[in-house]
Amino acid sequence: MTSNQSDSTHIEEAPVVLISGGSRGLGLSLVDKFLDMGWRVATFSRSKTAEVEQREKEYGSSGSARFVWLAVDSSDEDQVRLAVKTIVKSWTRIDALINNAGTGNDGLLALQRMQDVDQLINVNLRSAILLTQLCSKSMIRNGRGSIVNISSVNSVRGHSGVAVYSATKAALDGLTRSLARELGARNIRVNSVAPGYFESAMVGELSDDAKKRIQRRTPLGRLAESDEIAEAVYFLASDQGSFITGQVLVVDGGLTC
Amino acid sequence: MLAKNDAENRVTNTVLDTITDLLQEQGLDSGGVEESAKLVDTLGLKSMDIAQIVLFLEDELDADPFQEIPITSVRTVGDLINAYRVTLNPGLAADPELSLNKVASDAPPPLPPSGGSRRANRRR
Repeated sequence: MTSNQSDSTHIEEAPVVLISGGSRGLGLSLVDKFLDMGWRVATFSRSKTAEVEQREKEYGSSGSARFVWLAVDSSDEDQVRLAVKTIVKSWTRIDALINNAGTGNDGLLALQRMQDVDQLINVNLRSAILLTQLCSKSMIRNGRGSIVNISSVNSVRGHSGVAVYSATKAALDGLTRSLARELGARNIRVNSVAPGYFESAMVGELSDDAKKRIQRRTPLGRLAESDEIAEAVYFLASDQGSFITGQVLVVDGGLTC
Repeated sequence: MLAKNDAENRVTNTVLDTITDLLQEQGLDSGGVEESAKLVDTLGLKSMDIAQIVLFLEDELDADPFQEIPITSVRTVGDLINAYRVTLNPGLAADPELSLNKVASDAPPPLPPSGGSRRANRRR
């Protein structure tokens, strides 16, 4: 057997994770964490970033590819269906799904346009439900799987200006709990990770004063790094969390304790 | 005509075999798998078992009737077979004995969730 054949055989045994929205921010940290742990990683986003191109070069060579990126608008149902079909056809299974893709917009509900509300619900909730339905089919067939929904501390504590965003994240937590009951008998676990504030584009829009205020209120006295959130997600998605299902793990440095 | 019968027989046999395999896998009695058998009441299947059967049939028959037909309209093994026959051969919809309308018109109560229908109704 040549070393290439050996590599291919080894890679075919590697577990498969699908991460929505993996081209930047927390999604990219998740991609890196699962790649580091030897998984095959599929991800999608609307547009390719330099970081995605770099990982394609490093992990995406044909025959032994361990990373694949697809151009998908997560609010387009046909594109999402095709993406899941493509991944299952290529890699035969999906062991874990991370519902990470999401968007946010600030503003008082009384002043928000309904089209913005609809978009938020569509991207943060409807797309996650669709992706979960499609991937759970593969997991039921295989008799095992793990799903992690990326929620938010806004799902457990109220904050002015993010009412609809909070509603979508709380809805994801509801999905997590009921689906855990629905799928537990088929050895499929479902959990949420609710990150607090971490270094990201969303937090980048906060003023320095707002950041300092958050740090003061956080027992650990700082914002998280996205890698720290990715560690918690990996713990729940992998066999490390093999007896945990239906839970919301808050990773916020103690902000909500 | 023969080809059509072959196709129908393949659907029937595939559905019957899939149900039998799952019952055996679950350690349930697989002796009574016939078209008149009720999936839940006679065979003892739970709603997730039926979902698993539908997923296996989607692979085997390359069809998912339940994007169009409500799964709640399927009560017996025969209902399930009819759903696939009609989806794979839309011409059968003109046959009053074997049509989408026939499948839907029987409209039995929804399949109970794993925990039982009484609990689900109380929650509503």
